[in-house]
Amino acid sequence: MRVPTWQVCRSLTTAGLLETVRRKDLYVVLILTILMVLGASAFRIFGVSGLEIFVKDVTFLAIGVLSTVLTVLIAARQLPDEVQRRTIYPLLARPITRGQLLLGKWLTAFVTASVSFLILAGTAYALLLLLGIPLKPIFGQYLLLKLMGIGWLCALVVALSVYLTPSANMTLSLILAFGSGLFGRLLLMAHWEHGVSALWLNLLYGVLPHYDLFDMGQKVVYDWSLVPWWVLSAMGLYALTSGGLYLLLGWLRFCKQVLG
Amino acid sequence: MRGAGLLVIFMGLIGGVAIRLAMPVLTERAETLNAITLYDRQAMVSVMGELRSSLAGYLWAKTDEYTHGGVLLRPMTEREKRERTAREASSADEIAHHENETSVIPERERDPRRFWGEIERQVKPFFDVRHHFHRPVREVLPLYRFMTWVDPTFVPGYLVGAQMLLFENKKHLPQAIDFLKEGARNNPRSIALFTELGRYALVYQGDHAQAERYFRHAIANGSDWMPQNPFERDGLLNAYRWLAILKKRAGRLQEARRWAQQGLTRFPSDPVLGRLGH
Repeated sequence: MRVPTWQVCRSLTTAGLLETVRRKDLYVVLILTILMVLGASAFRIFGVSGLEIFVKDVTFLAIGVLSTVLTVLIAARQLPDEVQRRTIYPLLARPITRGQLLLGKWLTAFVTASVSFLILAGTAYALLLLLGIPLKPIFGQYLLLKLMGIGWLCALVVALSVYLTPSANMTLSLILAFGSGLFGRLLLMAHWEHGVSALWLNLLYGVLPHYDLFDMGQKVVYDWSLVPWWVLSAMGLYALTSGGLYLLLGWLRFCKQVLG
Repeated sequence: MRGAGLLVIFMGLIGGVAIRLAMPVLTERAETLNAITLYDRQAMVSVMGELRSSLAGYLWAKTDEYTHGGVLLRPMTEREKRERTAREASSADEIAHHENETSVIPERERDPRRFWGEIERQVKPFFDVRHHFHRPVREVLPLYRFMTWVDPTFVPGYLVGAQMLLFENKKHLPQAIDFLKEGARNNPRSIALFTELGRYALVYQGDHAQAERYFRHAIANGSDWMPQNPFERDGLLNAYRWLAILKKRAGRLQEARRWAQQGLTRFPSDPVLGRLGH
């Protein structure tokens, strides 16, 4: 008798979180957060006041970069670690499918990366308040959109981990995550300067990853007003369909893969 | 992971020690502007010096972004300039001047991506760059203070920072002059800073004698080399121009012509010096 998917996901997520605590992954987040606090406090020590925008800019840049790197690191090791430690065999000996395992691993990565991100963002928020720098309500939308982006990125990295070695996966994932904005710019320039047709541009643009669109940090930094909710809904739909497709592609490969 | 954390702490400690070690030597760098001497001394110091210069450069680039509320501008391509297909950025106030610039994110009418373009315009800072307003100058002023504090040899920071101080409030003239003087103290071989001090003395204080001293100092600083840096190059050119104009206004035409002709030996194609020199 098959174990229900939600039960598999819950067990794997709990185990994954415990593993994260055991491996002291969160220590890295806390150390980085402490460094951020000390760095920002330096402005007070040196008496450079009025740098609120700069402090916010650096803070959101740090959150964006650190959360992306952490997400890739966490998601990229989910499946390879199980294979390397040979714990995947007793797992698959239970009445669970490979699809359930893949989904569970994605959820584990998503929850762990989200918790790390929320700790980072929460600390940054508290720190900014402590420095007398309030944030506008758009910060709430920023968190929501970023969580969608983390879910999407986890799906991409977990799917790639079935196809690539861990180091190749991390490298490619980081390039895709940090380079996504640049790919779009290059396509637009190719359209304007070299006459690439709008149809090709849209086809390529649809295929390319758009992780950069999940980051509203710059709007938070400059206190812009709230973004229409349809934008967040559309991005949620994109994260769901695109992330689902990645997981599907990963599952198709994982099902046929000979382990060990 | 734990190893990475320990590495970060270790790097932080090493970085702190290195900054402390680098401080006195970097102050000397500001006075001599001789980076080669500095690099010959200590590899670690040169690395920290580069870091400071890079941070100042980063802050310099950021000032433009800050005045536009995060909206990114880029230079127009030759094709865009020729065909006028992109919206050209123009300023509705006097804080910044734009020439042949457009927004990085395209406007709706020009964006072939339609849905994705609309999403990008919503999640990233974007506005119509034609006839736009800027954020208050006071928000970027600390950046000039910070960038010159980080790298005291960053001359453009002093020049534009002083101008911004004055732009925010005309009563800030003493602070603007003090800021320029600080720059001149940190960069005694700079040309542009002394020319700017001379211009302030002449235009805002009406002190012709002091202005002349500064212009002469600027020319003396540039007597044995031709700067490639546009700020310093313009500083040298303007020092000759101002001195010639100063003498002409004082009715000392012979001296005005002499300074203009001297300037023409350095900048033969300058039309202003050309008119003053004949």
